[in-house]
Amino acid sequence: MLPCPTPAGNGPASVPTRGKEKDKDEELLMSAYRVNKLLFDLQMQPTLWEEFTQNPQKVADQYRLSPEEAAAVINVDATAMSRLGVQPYLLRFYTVRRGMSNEELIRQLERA
Amino acid sequence: MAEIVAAVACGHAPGIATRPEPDAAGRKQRFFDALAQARARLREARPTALLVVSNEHLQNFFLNNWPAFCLAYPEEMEGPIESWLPGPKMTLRGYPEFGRYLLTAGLNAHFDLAASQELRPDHAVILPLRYLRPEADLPVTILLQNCVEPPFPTLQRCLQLGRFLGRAIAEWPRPDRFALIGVGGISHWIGIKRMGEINEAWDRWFLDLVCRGRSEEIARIPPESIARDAGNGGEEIRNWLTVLAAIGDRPGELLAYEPVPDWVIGAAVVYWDLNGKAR
Repeated sequence: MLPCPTPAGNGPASVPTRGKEKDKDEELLMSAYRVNKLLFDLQMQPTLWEEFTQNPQKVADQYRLSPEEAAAVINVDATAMSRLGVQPYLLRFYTVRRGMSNEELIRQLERA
Repeated sequence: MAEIVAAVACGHAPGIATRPEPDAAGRKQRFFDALAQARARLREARPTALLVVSNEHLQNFFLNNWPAFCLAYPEEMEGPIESWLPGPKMTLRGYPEFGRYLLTAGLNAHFDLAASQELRPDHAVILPLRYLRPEADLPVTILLQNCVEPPFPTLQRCLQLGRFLGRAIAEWPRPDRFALIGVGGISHWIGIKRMGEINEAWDRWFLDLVCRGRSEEIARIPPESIARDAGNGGEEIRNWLTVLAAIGDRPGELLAYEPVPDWVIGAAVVYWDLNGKAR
């Protein structure tokens, strides 16, 4: 897995009996789950895709994405999405649908 | 009793449909020529049913319910599921009776496969079939193995599952003539750093093992080395291994190997002529 930056919060509540590092890891995993869920649903639900096209921030909020996650997805920032732990295949298919070429995706992932 | 009369393993990159235009080195054309040859030979083998060993790419299934192995046996399937993939849709007839048999035989042999009676096959199944059996006239059963979201089933488990498939097909009471199709790979990096790399030396080493029928050696490849040497896309060698184990480690014939930068994969086609020789 690629290293992930510190999330901006918005994750699930911490489990008090565990160490802070572990909390952070779990928060990131759960957070990436929500981004991945959004990308999966966008693939599968044409109406959601339409809604996302009209008002991406509203959809990002519905999926409880952090500001960084929302920005990465809305701006089709593959570098940021990869760093945030987005599932590689979901990332690839999403960028294809948003019109990004393989060559541009490769360029952006080199910086991930 | 059924038999396995032929097998094919080949790449399945979306680029086959999105970027089919010829490349200066003629690599894509040699891959397409190999698929055409495999199609002709498959026709001569007169199969009556297909079993495709593939992997889901998070398009039917999500991480809320993600199987290591899933047997898909709908009555009918239309694909590709991807709205963005160029080319015609294919409607495949399923083989529910065989699927149910295989699922039961698996449980009895301690392979607890997930089951799906509804599936919209993705590029991984549809693109190979567009070239290998565009008539879509044979009933298709699909075995999906997790090759895209870690942790993965072990290579050893894929080997065992392949062995089981070979036995189960031999014991299927109808006089079917199966062709097995394993898809994916070989080396490629998808959606991660290093995307665009192709490890031609590794691919050729792997193909040599495949064509010599060395499934036990493939099953001993250190699991952590696959992502390092063949990329996250290289995990799809599981589909090749399961097919090779199912056909009893028969030697195969390499029809093409082409590293295709536009498709970001090492693209290969291997064919096995197995008339009456599969086990």
